[in-house]
Amino acid sequence: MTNCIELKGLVKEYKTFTLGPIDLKVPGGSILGLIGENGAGKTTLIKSMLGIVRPTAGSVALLGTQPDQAKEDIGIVLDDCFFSEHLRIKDVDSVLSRVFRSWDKALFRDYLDKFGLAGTKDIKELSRGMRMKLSLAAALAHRPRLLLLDEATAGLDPVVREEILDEFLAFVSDEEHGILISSHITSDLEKAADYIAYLHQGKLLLCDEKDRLLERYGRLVCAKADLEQVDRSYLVSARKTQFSTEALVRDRAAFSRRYPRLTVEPVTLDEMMVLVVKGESV
Amino acid sequence: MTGLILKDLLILRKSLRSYLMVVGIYMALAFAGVWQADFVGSFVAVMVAILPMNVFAYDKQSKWDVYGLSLPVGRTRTVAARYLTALLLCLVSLALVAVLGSVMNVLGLIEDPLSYMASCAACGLLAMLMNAILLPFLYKFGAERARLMFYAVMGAIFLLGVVVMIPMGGLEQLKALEAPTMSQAIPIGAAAVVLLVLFFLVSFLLSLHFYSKQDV
Repeated sequence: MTNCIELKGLVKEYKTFTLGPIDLKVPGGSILGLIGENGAGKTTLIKSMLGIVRPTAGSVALLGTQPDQAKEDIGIVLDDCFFSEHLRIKDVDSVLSRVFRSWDKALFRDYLDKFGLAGTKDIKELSRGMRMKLSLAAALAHRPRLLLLDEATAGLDPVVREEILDEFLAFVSDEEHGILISSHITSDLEKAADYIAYLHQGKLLLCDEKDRLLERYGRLVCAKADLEQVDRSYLVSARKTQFSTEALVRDRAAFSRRYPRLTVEPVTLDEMMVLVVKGESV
Repeated sequence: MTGLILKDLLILRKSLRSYLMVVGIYMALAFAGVWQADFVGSFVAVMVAILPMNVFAYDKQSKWDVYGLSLPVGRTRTVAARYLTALLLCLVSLALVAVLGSVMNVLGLIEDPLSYMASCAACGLLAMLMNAILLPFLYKFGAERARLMFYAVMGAIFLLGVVVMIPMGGLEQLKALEAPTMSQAIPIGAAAVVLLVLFFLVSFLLSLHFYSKQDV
């Protein structure tokens, strides 16, 4: 199985922010969920992969080739609709059918029907959810092999999100296909993603199979005095508030063997993020 | 590349419609004898020069500038498409003014058709020149700042014109100048076209240079 995405030592430097170095692989037939707080570098990472911003160092291979050569096979959705309000839905078809060699007009119409979008409508008349659906239809209508989605499900109601997640799952049933999706809606990623990459202040904090990650990491809730006794090598970060003390445990099973008296609960991606961002690294 | 040109024209659809309406009103006033028909040509030149600025602003607003770079088009062809759009708009406007001039000529509203056509051609060349100046500014500074710079440049040219013309005796003196004959006008026109092509080429390379270095 080839990797849909392969990043080696990818770095993008700005005056006040540095992304990377990032090493990342997304195997074909899988969905990688990219999580991280606002400003962690998720959008910069996607832009760097596509050459929208120029990486300072490192290499990017998409679908086994240079990004410029792979663009015909990549579908992209950003956190907003990138089609001007001065266009109509059918204009998107006219424009992109002249941009992508593999653009499938019938497939685009199918997606419009599926998403309940009328081609004659002006884009300015569409709600945010409808615009995201249009962006998705446009991203899928040229039969891409890789989807790069930046907050593509933000602002959508749960029913539509469910529909779209089903679409993604159908898309990756082909082992040649892959998806990278950055999202703050971690429940979506818990449902659909195979891998999770956690970006924090420009650095890739962890990247692993989602199931292994959720199984391995845990949330320790205990008294302050108990936390003081714990070997720091078991912990990623700890958060002490007036009312509680909690910590992110690196290896739940090993921790429970060593400290059977302390209870470690399964951790959600949201809790993991909060503990890393709000907690102190130990 | 045709997709990008089409996109530019489609997002300008409404502006073009209002622009055609205004041209229609100006032409009607020229028919009514409020001003000379060749005034419409200069109006068209200014309007056409402004249109690419609108495209940049719309692209920025909708984040197409980011999306465009994810398309399998490449930066060179993206810039080339924008230049072709600008050129196409200039040529279409020029053709429009020429057609309307011919109609007015048939109706006997134009005293000197040759002078009218020469004036239209000069305005068309001026529109292209303005675009060639403006586009690198747009790629370097974006629509908002480039707009201000463009108006400043145009204002400076106008002031320079006034400063140069006053010692020469003003507009009346300029009007009194003898128009070139056809045998004089053809080489002048040809030289102007060659210079404009060279200017466009330099402008394109400059825009490409700015765009290639840009992180969106």
